[in-house]
Amino acid sequence: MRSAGCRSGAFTADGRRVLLLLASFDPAARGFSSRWQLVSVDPDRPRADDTGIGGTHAVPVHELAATVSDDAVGAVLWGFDAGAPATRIDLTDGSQAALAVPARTVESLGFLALPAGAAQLWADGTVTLYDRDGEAVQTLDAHQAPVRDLALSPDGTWAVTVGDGGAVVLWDVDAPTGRWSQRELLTGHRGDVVMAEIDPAGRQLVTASLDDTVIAWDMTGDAGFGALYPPTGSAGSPASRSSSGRDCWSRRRGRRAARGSIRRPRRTTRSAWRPRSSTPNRRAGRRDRAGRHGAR
Amino acid sequence: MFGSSAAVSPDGSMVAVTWGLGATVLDTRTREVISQVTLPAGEGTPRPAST
Repeated sequence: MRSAGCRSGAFTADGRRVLLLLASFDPAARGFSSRWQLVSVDPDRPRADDTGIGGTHAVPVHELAATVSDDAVGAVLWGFDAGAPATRIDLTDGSQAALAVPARTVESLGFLALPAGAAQLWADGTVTLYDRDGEAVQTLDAHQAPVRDLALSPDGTWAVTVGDGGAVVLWDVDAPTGRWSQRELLTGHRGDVVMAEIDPAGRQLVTASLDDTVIAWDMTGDAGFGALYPPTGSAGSPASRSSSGRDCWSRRRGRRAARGSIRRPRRTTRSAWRPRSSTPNRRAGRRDRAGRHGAR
Repeated sequence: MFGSSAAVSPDGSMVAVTWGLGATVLDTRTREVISQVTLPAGEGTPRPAST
């Protein structure tokens, strides 16, 4: 099956071009591996240019997944089958590093490319962090149910992981060492959380859940931030406020949630927190495979 | 067969949505298509497409 196509993309830091990672059938390997190629698109013309960065990956193209980091400096290629190789690519020079994926019996839910390496999300709630050389450098185990997404702040000093059971976990990232340490658990979602995004200024975290809510978290702690969400003209006070001063707003099915419809965000210790369910969500699983963490 | 992904420009003015055979760049304010790139089916070489 020849299923060439665009796997992932990201804007360059100056916002003037879009880098696209393409996959195609590798005729030399008779389909046992894939060709990949990085192209650059100028949105204003439009024009697609070959960057000269590309290669092959030992996964059939119809099983090849890929993600590009938000800053467009790194990418990860992998296969959906257990045991398929995973590779981090430095998009600035095309250099590649095979990820030393630990041998586990747990299902891998996908990878994310990070500026300093990569992250792997697992169905048992574990997150494996890799450095630029592909070595596994840290294992995070704050989640007790499948981890669905991860986002790193633009300045690289904090991050968030989200997953089943409404879990939203904040992490401090030590810049010199790259080590992550758990800071806080944010409560508010009642269903499985499948996506996390951080605004370019690092002031706002947005999380989306299968309970049909989107929560915008004020990551600054100051009172003036809330004007960004809900949009101008909507009511202005947050739906709830955490004990640490963190405000949040919630939207359910396109309408602003009524006050009290979500649980009050609070600082929670790991021992006090339990997910509502440890059963992997089938909807979320399909979405991971086909969307957020790489497209077939 | 294919999924899709989305990327937002640093200033938030554009969003690029990738799909099976290409990518579409949208203006986040007007929601109009700024440009679209389509790949020849079955190949890996991109070609420019009309806006």
